[in-house]
Amino acid sequence: MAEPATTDQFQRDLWRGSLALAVLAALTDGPQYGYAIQKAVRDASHGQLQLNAGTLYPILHKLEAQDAIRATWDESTGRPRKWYRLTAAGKRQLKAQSDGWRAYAAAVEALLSPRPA
Amino acid sequence: MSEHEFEAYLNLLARTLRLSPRQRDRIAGELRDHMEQRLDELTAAGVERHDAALQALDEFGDATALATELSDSAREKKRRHLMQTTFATAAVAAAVTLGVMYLAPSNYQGRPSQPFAAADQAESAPTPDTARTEPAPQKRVDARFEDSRLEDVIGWFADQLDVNLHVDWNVLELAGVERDLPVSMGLSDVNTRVAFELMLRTLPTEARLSYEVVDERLWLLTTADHVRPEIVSRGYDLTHLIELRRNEILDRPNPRSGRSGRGTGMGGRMGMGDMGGGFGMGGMAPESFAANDRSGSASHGDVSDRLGAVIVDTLPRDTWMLPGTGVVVFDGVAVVRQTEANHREIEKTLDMLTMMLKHRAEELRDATATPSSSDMGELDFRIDELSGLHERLRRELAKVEAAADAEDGGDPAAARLQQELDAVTKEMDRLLTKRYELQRLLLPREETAAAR
Repeated sequence: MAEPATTDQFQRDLWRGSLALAVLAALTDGPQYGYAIQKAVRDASHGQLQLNAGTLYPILHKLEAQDAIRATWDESTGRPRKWYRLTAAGKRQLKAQSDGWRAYAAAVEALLSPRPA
Repeated sequence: MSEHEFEAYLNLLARTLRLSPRQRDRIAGELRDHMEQRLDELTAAGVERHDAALQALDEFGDATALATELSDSAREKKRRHLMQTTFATAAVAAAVTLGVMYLAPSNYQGRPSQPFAAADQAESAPTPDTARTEPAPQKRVDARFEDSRLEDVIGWFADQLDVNLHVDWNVLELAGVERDLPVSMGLSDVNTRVAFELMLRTLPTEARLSYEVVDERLWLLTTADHVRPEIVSRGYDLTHLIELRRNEILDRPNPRSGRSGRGTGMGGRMGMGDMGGGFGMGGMAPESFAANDRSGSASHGDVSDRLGAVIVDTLPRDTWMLPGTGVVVFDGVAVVRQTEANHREIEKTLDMLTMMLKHRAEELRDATATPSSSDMGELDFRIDELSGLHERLRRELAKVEAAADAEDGGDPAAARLQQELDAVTKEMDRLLTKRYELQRLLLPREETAAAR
């Protein structure tokens, strides 16, 4: 369901492992609703990373159940809208996962770099 | 077009969500908001409205899979919430909100109609009015006590319930239940009888209290050991099952059989609480089962016989040794005299049997049939039935789990219920997926062509 721009299995696996990280990251600048999160992920990655609705909402609800994000309903407009924001726990999770991701990326990068013989 | 598609999808999803109506509405509302925005975006980018709708829907993927994931998250959230609340409050809240219907004791007629009866009754030949009992009014009260004396609390409940509540203090005091045992509870807007039972169950004492409805307005409150299990007569309409089974025997699947004729569906309880005696068959063995069926073909009687045997075999043999118990099948209706708990077992067995026979009948039919819009109606009908059954199992499971929580121990009944629930969920998922596929097949193709 979550299809990055390339359908390569390796890319898909990478993406699947970082879905929650992507959603948390999209919330760093303040509360957002589902559709805007989807768009933020797509735009920030220049269309490379796409979160389909069928993938996004289960993640949002799961993160909410884990108290990493909290939701409020805005009923003031004609169309009720559910807004999500990071909790303290969510911020910690984002920090830990970002650090983990960077360390991992650096390690893989080092592994791939040409080394003196 | 798109509106219709969206709503169909959301309906399908909402039906599969095993959540409260409020939670379902919330989830449907959130997804609708998303779909509408996506649709706006796509049409703004020049995509035809019809195609945009299909694409937006496509991005949501399979409705039943999505519903399953969202349900899981909602339950996880609830579990966490309950863990944060104090333990006692959580157990009470769960018992009250989820267990209301199933805490109701023997002879209680106020339950909702059974799933397989509900949809059928409108079309079927009416059963005699005398065979039905109106649901008892469910009076709701605020039950708040702070270290009140047990005797006073019982008096208060007797007033609220409008019954003579005779308390067997001799037995209770021997069991260590004193008149001034402190009672605390803080419930608002709850069914009086449910609150009363909850109060009995949660008393700070080892003794298990229960009550017996001696007469409509006379209840006896004593320990559980001293309450006689009450034997209740209940009618089960088996015509639906007989029909299903007969079709199978004759190898002539007839998908409409369940919806026409006089079938009032399975487990259609008719509340024959006062039918009197005459059915006593203590110690009856399945082999000696006598079917008084005179209504038609040989196979009809044969199937009746075997259904009677199924009812007998559902319960441990010694439950039929209780005086006053028994089964009689007459003209497709089984009249069973058993305790309330055993009636529930029988209902479950018959429900499962219906589900499995339907499943088989459908598989036979699928082998030959081509899809048509009438299949959709049939599917909807079955999904409705199943979701009723699902709901009932779910509530019962919640009740059992809440009780197990309160006693701080596992319950084998919970595992068994969970198994049944899983089977029903699986079947429902299968049907919903099928419905979704069918719906796609039945999309007006010329409209698609025109949009391109």
